[in-house]
Amino acid sequence: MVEDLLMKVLRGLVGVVAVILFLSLNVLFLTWMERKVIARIHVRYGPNRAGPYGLLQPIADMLKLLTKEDIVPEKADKLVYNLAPVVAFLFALLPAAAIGIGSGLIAADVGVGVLYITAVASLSTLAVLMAAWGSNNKYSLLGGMRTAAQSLSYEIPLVLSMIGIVAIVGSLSTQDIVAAQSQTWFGIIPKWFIFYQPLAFIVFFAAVVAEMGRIPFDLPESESELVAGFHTEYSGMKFAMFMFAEYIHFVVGSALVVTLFLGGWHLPVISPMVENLGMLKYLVQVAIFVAKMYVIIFVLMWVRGTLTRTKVDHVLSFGWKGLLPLALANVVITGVVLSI
Amino acid sequence: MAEEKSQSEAGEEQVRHELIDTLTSKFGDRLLEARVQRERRLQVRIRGEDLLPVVEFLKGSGFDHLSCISGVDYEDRMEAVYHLWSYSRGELVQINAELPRDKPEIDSLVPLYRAADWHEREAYDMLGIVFRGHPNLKRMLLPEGFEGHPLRKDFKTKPMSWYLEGEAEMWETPVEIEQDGEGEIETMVLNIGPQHPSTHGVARLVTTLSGETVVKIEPIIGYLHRGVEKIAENRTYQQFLPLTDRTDYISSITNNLAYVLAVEELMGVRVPERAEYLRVILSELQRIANHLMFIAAFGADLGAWTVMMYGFREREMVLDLMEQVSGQRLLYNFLRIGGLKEDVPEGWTEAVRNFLRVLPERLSDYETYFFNNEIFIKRCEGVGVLEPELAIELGVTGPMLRASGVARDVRRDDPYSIYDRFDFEVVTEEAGDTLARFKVRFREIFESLRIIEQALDDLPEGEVRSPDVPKVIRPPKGEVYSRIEAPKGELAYYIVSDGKSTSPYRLKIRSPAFCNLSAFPHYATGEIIPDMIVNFASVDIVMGEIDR
Repeated sequence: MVEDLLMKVLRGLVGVVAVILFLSLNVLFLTWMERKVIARIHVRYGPNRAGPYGLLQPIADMLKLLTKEDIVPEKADKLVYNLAPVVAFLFALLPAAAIGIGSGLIAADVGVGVLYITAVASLSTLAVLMAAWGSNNKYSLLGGMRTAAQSLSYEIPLVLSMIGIVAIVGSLSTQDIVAAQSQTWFGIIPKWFIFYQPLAFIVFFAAVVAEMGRIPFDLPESESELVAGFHTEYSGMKFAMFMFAEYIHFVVGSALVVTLFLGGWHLPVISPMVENLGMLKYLVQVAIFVAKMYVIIFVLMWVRGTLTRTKVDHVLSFGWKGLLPLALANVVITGVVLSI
Repeated sequence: MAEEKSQSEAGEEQVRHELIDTLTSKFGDRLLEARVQRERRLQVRIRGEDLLPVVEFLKGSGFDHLSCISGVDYEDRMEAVYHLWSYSRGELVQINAELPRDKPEIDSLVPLYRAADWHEREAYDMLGIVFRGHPNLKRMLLPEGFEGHPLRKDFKTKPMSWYLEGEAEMWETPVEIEQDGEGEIETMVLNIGPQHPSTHGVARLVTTLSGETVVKIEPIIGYLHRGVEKIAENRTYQQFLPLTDRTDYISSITNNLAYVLAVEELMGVRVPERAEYLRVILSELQRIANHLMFIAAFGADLGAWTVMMYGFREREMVLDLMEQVSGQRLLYNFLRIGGLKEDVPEGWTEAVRNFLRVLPERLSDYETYFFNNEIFIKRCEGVGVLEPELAIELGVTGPMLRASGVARDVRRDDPYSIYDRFDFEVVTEEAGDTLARFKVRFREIFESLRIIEQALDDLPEGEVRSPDVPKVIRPPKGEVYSRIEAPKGELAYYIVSDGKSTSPYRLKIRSPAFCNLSAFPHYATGEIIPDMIVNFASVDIVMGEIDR
């Protein structure tokens, strides 16, 4: 009994450490990759001084941010101001627990997986609002209000677009959802949900980008208008935590797209080959998952290099008048098709 | 231009002009002097109290563009100087209104021309001329609380120690910021700038917001005021030339050009043909560089950093060309009174031709990027519409005016240098919105390329510097108002020479961005913050030129 509990706790701890490690490594790599990819799109070189190809740049950045002076505005609401980055960081980490990167390789296989993820992910809005309010800065406040409006408008189509998949799989667990995509047609064409639910994919993708707050939806921190939005007043490590949280959103969002629509760690031809290889199987699964994730990440960076920022009213009307009806239509179509 | 000058020198009094005749018959003795300065330039001298009827009459006769208001302190009297341009007649009239020095008061022109607002505030600030009936007469470039009016001849500058040793108080902010209101509509005052990513320098916009909607904007300028006009009075004509570079510091050739044209007109110097052609080529290259910079900055304000980088990459080609001729990449200081510093290096014209070939290819990428980009179009279309009538009344010039469908271009309407020899289109767009302002600048690049090509084809051999310019420049007594079409609009230098000194008695820079910015609050209110930012970017400002 006690041993059981101990095992559970131990397993949980290992999961937590693994999740944080996985995310941190990816975030570090992402900051470098983003700068490099964007630089190439911009016809620049990007970081190329710290280490080979500038690979040590994230570490240099981290050191810089750690040693920077931490400024707290005189008229800030100290408690809320100081708490906001921690909350942002925490709530960014939580959804990752329910996303698996291989069969069984998941920190917590919650039965209501997808629901849990969206619920926790939307909590990060709270952190932004806290930062916006606590900074006592008008730019921050405007940025915070924009975030609230934006996540309100995009959360709904985001959840609705997942209903189709949930209905097909009959489960909310991310493990089950990925398992449902393991089959193929003729051994080569994967039975991924992107092919079953193309409409949902479009809605989900757009909504997820909006949730991440990236260009073209980076209104909460649109620098040409609101300086830096909700984190205008933050510096040093607190700023770093916001950035970290943002990149975690980036990773988690992309992982979610892979899980829901791109077959998770399954790849036709290769996956069946490694089925009986023991530990190697897990390695290959993780490699496939991460590779797919980076495809999505690269596409998002590409988008950032290509598009301009939208306007706050356009974003809202796109959410309510464009994505929401599409998502609803998808739910109806899926329902009709399933019941036939 | 040379012929015009000889004409004006030869028979100043003899030239008859129907407008002057009408003015004389109408106002009689109240006209102290009325004459033709040169072709397209009239001058009227009146007493201060007669200003309103004269200007009203002139406005009725088609002088619809208030180009500039300035003032001169003659120690025994003050003069308020008005420059009115008529788009329909193609003539400029300069009105010198004499005022008593102890009580320089004159009627405000704001009821007639809304453009007068900022000009009069500046004249009040610099010379202490009080404009009766001005709705908001307070300091423009200097902070409220500043003592004295620096362009008066008896103004004593304080020693540097006064500023350094803490005797200077912090001047209070020049605006009364209303407290966040709690009336029927709750408003919030947002200070955008002086430090803000999209103020392009140190502009400050005191913005009253209701939610995200902009209710009121008050631009506050002067953070970069360096007293260039005052410095000019203490420098010789040659010494001042490098300072012109530093007004609109991203298009210094055109600043040089406006200034040297003014001095040359004062002196009656004829510039060698080759120098004229090279000046045109350089000016148009400068215009291209300026517009590329505009596109880049505009992209940055929209969050399109790729375009920013692209714009700078293309501008780099122009900078390389400029570096080859002048050795500098930003402040070229290449033009000289009477010509150029030196001839262009060997092979330079081929390099320019190569540039003419490469740039259109590169620009086709921009077309794809912008005009096929739904987000970009949506953000700019219908945003910040400036009606043509309002634009003219507000004294807007340059690409901004042409974007409202008014085909006005100093290069064509009031040709300077040798612009009348080239075939080019005055680019206009009908919409008057931010997209139109962007398109006009974009298309103007191609027109500039055309002009450069023609100029290169006709480029004669020969000297580039007039031998008639003496080492010590002491122009005869006189006044000159030289206008050019700078990339941002009508740039003019008003220079008064007393005939004795080697430095200008008074020098006034009519800056295009100054006037264009004054129009900004009129068309940008009622929209939301993101719109305001693109509206502001579409003015294309450089604070160095606005604050001078």
